[in-house]
Amino acid sequence: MSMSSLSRRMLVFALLLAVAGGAAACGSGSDNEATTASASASDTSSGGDKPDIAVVHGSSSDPFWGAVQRGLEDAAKDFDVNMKLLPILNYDNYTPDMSRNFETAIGLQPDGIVAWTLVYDEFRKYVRQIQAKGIPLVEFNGGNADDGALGHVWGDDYQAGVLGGKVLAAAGKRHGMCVSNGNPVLAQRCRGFRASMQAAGGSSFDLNLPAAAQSNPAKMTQGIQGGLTSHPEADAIFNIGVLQAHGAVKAVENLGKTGEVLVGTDDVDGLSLNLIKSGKLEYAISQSPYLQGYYSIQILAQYLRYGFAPGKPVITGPVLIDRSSVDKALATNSRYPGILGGS
Amino acid sequence: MEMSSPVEVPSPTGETTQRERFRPGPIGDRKRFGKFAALTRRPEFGALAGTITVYVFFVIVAGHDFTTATATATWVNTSAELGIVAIPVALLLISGEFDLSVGSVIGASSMIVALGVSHYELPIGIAILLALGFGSLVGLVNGLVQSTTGLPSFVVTLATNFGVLGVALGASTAIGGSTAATFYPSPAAVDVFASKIGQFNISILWWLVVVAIAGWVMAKTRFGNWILATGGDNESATAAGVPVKRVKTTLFVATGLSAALLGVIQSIIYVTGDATRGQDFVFDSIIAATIGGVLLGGGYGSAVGVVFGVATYGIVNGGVFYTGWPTVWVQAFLGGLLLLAVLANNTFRKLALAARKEEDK
Repeated sequence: MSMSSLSRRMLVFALLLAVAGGAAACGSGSDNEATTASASASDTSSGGDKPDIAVVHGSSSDPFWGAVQRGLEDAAKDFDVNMKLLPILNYDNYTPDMSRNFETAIGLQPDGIVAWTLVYDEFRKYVRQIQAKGIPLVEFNGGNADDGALGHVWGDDYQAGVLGGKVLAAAGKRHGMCVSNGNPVLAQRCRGFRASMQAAGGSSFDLNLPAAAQSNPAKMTQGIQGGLTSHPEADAIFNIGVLQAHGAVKAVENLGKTGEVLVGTDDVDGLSLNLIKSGKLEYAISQSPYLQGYYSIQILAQYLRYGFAPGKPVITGPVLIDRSSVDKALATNSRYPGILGGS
Repeated sequence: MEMSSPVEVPSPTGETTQRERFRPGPIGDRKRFGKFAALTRRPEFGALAGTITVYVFFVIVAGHDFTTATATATWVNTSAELGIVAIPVALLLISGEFDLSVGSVIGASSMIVALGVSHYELPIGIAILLALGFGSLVGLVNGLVQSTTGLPSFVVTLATNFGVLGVALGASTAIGGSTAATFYPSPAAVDVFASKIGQFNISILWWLVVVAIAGWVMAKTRFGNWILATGGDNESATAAGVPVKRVKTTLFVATGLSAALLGVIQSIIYVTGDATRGQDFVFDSIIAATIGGVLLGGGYGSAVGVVFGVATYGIVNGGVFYTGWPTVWVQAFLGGLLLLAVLANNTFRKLALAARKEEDK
């Protein structure tokens, strides 16, 4: 190999490294994720009096987090803070993606951090790091009440399941089926549901439909229909999310068991509200994602300004939307599409 | 091996002549089982064997539950939806290219219909045309980029998949406040795209239309030959006068259009649009094509085979839930059963090819 071709290769390699390094530096922190007016204000870095808050949160392609984001943005405007959003794109690579966002948030040295510490144990070290740096932390949609964070805002997944089970058991149902997707945290909802069914003298089993199939309504219907056929005694279906719920309602219809098998769901979207209105779905349980976003920023902003914060976690759910309250929810949804968690 | 031995055969005039006696090959005696043997040598037979194998498997394990009209309708409905996209994707694979952007087009077109009707209050027919146009446009972009740059379609369409998804998510949120939307389709739209015959969706008819068109193109038209030639070898095909770039771009438009059609159908059946819908079709369509006998390297395959591939995939995906097996293991079962189907396919294909080789000696 001649000297000139060797040095040429090294030059190309060095160039590639430089480009890759530059791209990595630009890519982290995902500036382009924050796409709204208040977020673009947040890109102008820390002015003296406006506090800077970094938010580590879930994927904006998930309508639930879309609603959370609306709450975050409205609060950022109302409380006049600079906000930097750090969402993950999807849940395929959850732990590494969230870890990266945590590191970015800490590296920004903001005045406060709002974080989605969903699976607390995995991210405990980041919580410790944030506290070691003296940055006030509000955990939302998850976390651990005993870890010394400034504030917590969440809905209780287990209690959501308990409520869901209570309603169906009160309607006389005893053989439950909980449609889940393998997510260990959402499985709390199924555990709560089972507890309620057992307390009423019944039972419940989990039907796991792979998360990858979630966005395919035909597969959802098919899986639930199969589950009902192979468990003919099932008379109550609780769904961990609206995509499962849509499939469950269709499956029950296909089998001609509407009214006989009752269906309920966690989370809310426009179709679910319509189904409640038409009687095909018993209820939707909301943890008010908009409020989770809004209150988290509110707690931090007021703490940074005045020095005080609520002494206990702020619990935004579960809230039951059923036939008696669905009209109000529908009106809100049509006026502010997506604010309940999916239009 | 000696295939034949001379034999004395009397002729009508009373003289005897020497004739070769045909010895049967591994599959069967051509004289007696001629038609069947010929059938088994067709590339689709292996795929059909796979379908029958998995279906019989589930009938044994799940019993009567799986053979009811309701159960059958569910897997046929799912297969039909997959098939609408898988058939054009398969033709594109035969020509040697991938389309990984079908997923995002499905989701985006469902949102175009949903937001078009609910937010912009367009007549649903216009919204549908816009969605179909969008899908075709994405296909055109894929085709043009691939043919002008010569980049592998795998990379080009992967990039398009991300791009279209991002645009769909951003635009949906900006327009409607969320990445999903509900709407009310007109009764006419429901009749055309979402009506049922018993439990069977009309999407099955749409699928059969796609199959018919693809089958006719492959079997009866010059374009079909061009697809096979292009997949066989780009350069030889070009040398033989095949307009390779035009063939591929046309097929990209076809896959984009079919993905948009599926997006439209799904949005009307489920009265919702969802920008994230459809990502599983990217992989599922390639799996179905492969089970159906299409070679990933290009140049080999048929539309009928893909029909069986799609059916196999539908049966496996649906059947697992009728068995009552613990559902946390579902993915493992899916993997095992798909492997079973492909092995059955492969075994029959090898037997068929061996039989053909024996005859040719």
